[in-house]
Amino acid sequence: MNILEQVQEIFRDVFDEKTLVITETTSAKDIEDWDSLTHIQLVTKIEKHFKIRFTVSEVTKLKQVGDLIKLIESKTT
Amino acid sequence: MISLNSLIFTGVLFLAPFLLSIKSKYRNWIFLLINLSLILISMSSVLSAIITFAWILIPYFLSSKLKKAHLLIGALVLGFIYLNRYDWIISSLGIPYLFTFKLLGLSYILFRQIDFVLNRSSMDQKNINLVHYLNYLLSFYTILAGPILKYEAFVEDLKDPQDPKEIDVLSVLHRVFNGYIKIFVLSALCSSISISIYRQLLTHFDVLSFIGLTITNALFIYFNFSGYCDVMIGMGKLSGFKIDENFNKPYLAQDLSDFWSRWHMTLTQWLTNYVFNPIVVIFARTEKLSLEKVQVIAFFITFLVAGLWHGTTLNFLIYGILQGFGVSLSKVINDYRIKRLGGRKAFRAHRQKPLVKAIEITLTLSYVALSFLFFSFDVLALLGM
Repeated sequence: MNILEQVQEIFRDVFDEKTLVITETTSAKDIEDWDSLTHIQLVTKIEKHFKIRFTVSEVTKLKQVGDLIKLIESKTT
Repeated sequence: MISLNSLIFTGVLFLAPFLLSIKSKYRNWIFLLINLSLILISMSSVLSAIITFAWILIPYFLSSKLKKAHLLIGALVLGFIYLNRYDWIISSLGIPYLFTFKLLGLSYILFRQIDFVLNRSSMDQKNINLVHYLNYLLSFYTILAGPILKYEAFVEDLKDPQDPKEIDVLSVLHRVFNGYIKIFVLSALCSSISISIYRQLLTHFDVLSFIGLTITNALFIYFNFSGYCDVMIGMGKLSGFKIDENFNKPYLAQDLSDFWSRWHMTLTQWLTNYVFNPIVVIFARTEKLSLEKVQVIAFFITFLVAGLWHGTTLNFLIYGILQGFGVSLSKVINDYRIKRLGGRKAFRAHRQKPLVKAIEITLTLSYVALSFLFFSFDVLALLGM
């Protein structure tokens, strides 16, 4: 699985939607339940899954799936 | 009510578009000159000027040296408690005050400084310079009461101001004019009514007048603050600045977290980023508490900070606790309703029904309006406590 697919699994888990499909341009506008709390759930699940840590300013800047994936890439390589 | 300073300020407000709606390398310097002049005329003594500029400049230079920003932010918060005179903290610790003045717009300056210091290391280093920093902290459009912009967004906007030809000047002026009506007519009227009801209530308490007080006070706060933002956002736009919206029909909110996403929106965003999120992330990483519990803790701390930031008396502490309690309660109730209705989709549809909507709006607004009493009046004295 590439990073996007792995992230998609985490999204499906957090939003409890088995068929949810995300792309690089998906943002909070596209998913109605993506609020500040689910955002944190996403972040902490991703941290755990990829064994990485985000900083406060990174957490706040993550608005789009694309940004998220870029950041994961930069932290895992 | 109208002082020389506020006359000068209004003059500058209407003169600024002619000076600033230009794309030139001098624009930032002109802006800085205006901001510094306005700060300086508000100063009462040389000492206050020295302290103000020390407060503003030291974090700028220190933050370039520090790897971890947290220590500096801790120091800023402590300094803020002292400079802003949190009497119930300072006096109970027996610390003497060395001077008597209060720094103009300090609460807002603090939150902007924290935004800058926290993000400094991770942002585009080309965006960092002292002129931008000073304009960001002291922008006369936002120094007194927000909206609270983010440093990076502010600088990006400075680099690429909106072309004045693209602005619909008439509709902007319309908004500014409405803003002035909100401040000087509607809010002034509601304010004077609420004050006279309050006086009457102090001698003789009756429920009907109390309801009247609650309503007029809520209207006063809304008209005053949103009117101010209308004026500033509109006038800023005429000078080519993009200032974030701060209100989105807040009194039509259907629950308290909905309310906070519509009221003083830039403050809510700031608190979400720098108080709520870090708390939740830290607790969630430990995996010791359920996310629901973590959320309640984070709500309480966040609104405690919000309350205390708004004012230095214990009334604001109560206000913060009320908000923390209200938001937590509405979250718990909504989670229960989601379960009962069989999912978020059904819940959302249910809330669109006119009757449900009307009840939710009324309940939310009542709670908000009651808690806003702590903003304007000594409620405890009113209740005979």
